[in-house]
Amino acid sequence: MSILQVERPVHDAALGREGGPPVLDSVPGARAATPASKPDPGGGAAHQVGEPVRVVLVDDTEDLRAMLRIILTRAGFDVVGEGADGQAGIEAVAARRPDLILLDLAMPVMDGLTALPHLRLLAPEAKIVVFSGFGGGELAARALDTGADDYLEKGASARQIVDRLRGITAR
Amino acid sequence: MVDVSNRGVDSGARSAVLDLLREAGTHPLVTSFPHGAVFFFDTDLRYLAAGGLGLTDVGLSREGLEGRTIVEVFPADTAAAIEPLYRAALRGESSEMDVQYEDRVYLQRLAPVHDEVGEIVAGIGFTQDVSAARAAEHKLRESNQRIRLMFENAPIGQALVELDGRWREVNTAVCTLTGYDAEQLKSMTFQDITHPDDLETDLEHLGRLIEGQISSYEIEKRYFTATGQTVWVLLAVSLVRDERGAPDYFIAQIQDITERKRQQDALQDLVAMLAHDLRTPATVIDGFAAILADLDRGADPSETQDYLGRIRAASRSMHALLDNAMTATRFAAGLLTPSPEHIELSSFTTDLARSLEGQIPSVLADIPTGLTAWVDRGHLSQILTNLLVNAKKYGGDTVRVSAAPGAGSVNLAVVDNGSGVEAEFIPDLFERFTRSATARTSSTRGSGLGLYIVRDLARANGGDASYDPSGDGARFDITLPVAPEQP
Repeated sequence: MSILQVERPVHDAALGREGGPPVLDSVPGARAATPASKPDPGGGAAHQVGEPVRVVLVDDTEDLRAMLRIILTRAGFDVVGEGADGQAGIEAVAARRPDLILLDLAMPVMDGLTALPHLRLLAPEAKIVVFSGFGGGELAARALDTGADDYLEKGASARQIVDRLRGITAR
Repeated sequence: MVDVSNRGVDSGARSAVLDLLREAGTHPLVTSFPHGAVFFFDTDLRYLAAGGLGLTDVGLSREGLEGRTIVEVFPADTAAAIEPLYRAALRGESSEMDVQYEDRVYLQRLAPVHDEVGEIVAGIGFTQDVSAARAAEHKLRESNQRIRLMFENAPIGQALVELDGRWREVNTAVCTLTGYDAEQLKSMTFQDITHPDDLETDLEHLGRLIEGQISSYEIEKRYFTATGQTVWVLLAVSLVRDERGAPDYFIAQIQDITERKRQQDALQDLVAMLAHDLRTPATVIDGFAAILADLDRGADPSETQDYLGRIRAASRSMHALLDNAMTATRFAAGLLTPSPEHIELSSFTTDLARSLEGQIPSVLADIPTGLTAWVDRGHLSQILTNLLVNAKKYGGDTVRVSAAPGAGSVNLAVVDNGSGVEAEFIPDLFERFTRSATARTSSTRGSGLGLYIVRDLARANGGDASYDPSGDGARFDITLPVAPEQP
């Protein structure tokens, strides 16, 4: 039995481009909060049993977000928003009121540790899991002090990621 | 003062003493006087008696001296030199001096001879061959001087430290290292300038040294300099005990290892950063591989292609990170040697942008066809890749790459439409990251190796890199030579 249930293919919406001279390259990937595709149902209430866990992904690597989107969607999560930096993450969380926030630390514009207290205030019921390339230790402690519920190191396999997120949202 | 020149009042006592002295030449005390000579002289500076085993060593004899004055015995200059001392002795002033005679050194002592009533009637002199003693003293002085010079001028810090921590002696290197002069240090203790975090370890070792549990120790520790800076030192300490075995003072050798520490830290930071940066693409590859493994047989081929494309892009970004790390390491080790060639910038940029598709913003190239730079192909590729990836990371969605000929150089500009670099970060933009891993989660540009590499590579190729803060977005200027430098 696979943890990865195919639900739908995921393609990135290309960024709109404002005229200008011919380009050599195209830029896929959202770099700000994904616009709300459906209205916010519960006004940020805690996750209801039976409903899919609603997730916001905050990471500056578009490919990583795409990967997480697919494996989490297949695993029954509902990825409702994304942010490519701390600021965009805050906007996405404010707009989408998720049950779960997956948060990178090293990001441009606003890093994860700076965004954490804002996210905590904005979504007091949501579980915040830091997902970072930095080893745990001091950083993990700081993240947990600042409002994170868990710290997951990048390098974890798809199954480990899903198991960990299921564990924390079941609590 | 006794008048010795008045011969008219020649007392009985005086003539009795003089008579005795005239006989003294045969006295065993005189004849067997070792290592030198003994003699008496009267107020005319005439020798009354002389003897001693050393007399013949200097070509003199009892017969040659007795009854003769110093002027009759010695060459005029010698006589002139010794006369004042002879006369001083006759006035009651004893003297002691080294006299060089031929290749030997004699210690000459002169003193008055008194009669029974205490009047000076004559002078007495001893000369003793002290050549061996003087030579030994000279050697000792030289040896002390050598030790002193070795201590003073040793390239590493050396110090004698009292048991309570006061500096007793410090050499120049200690002064240079700490920024204090010797006098300042001698009024301080080593505790005063030791970093508080390192003090306990140091004191603990000193305690064990005094207890005799160890004979010496070596630790790395930090001092605060006079200007408040921190220096790392390798400290080696041993204890000197007195004759009875009681602790007397410490000998310390202090070596500045600040630069070595800095390099170690930089290397550690590099490894930590690389580990961090590689985890993201590794996770992407791992994730998409798992997704592909789970795809239905009938999955849309374009979906498969999309995932494979992302895996390839992640793998390429890992290579780029490793290239940067290798370049930084090779540059630091002085091993970065460019192999320049003429590179046509327009097609080079177009090809590179195409190969980086997906990783960089859209590129608008504005480069005159045929314009070339004299640069290492791999290095130019790394320079442009870093700038383009950087533009994407920091908010630009379009990058304009333009080039124009300059004076003996080509000026390449990479301009994005992002938010630019905040003024406070511009000074350190091209510096190799100096922040700790924790601080590096911060969102500032230049926190990685990318821009550091850009400038190093540009300089290694005879060019340079700079940041232009005048526009809205970020603008990086790269100058490169157009042709090999003429010798």
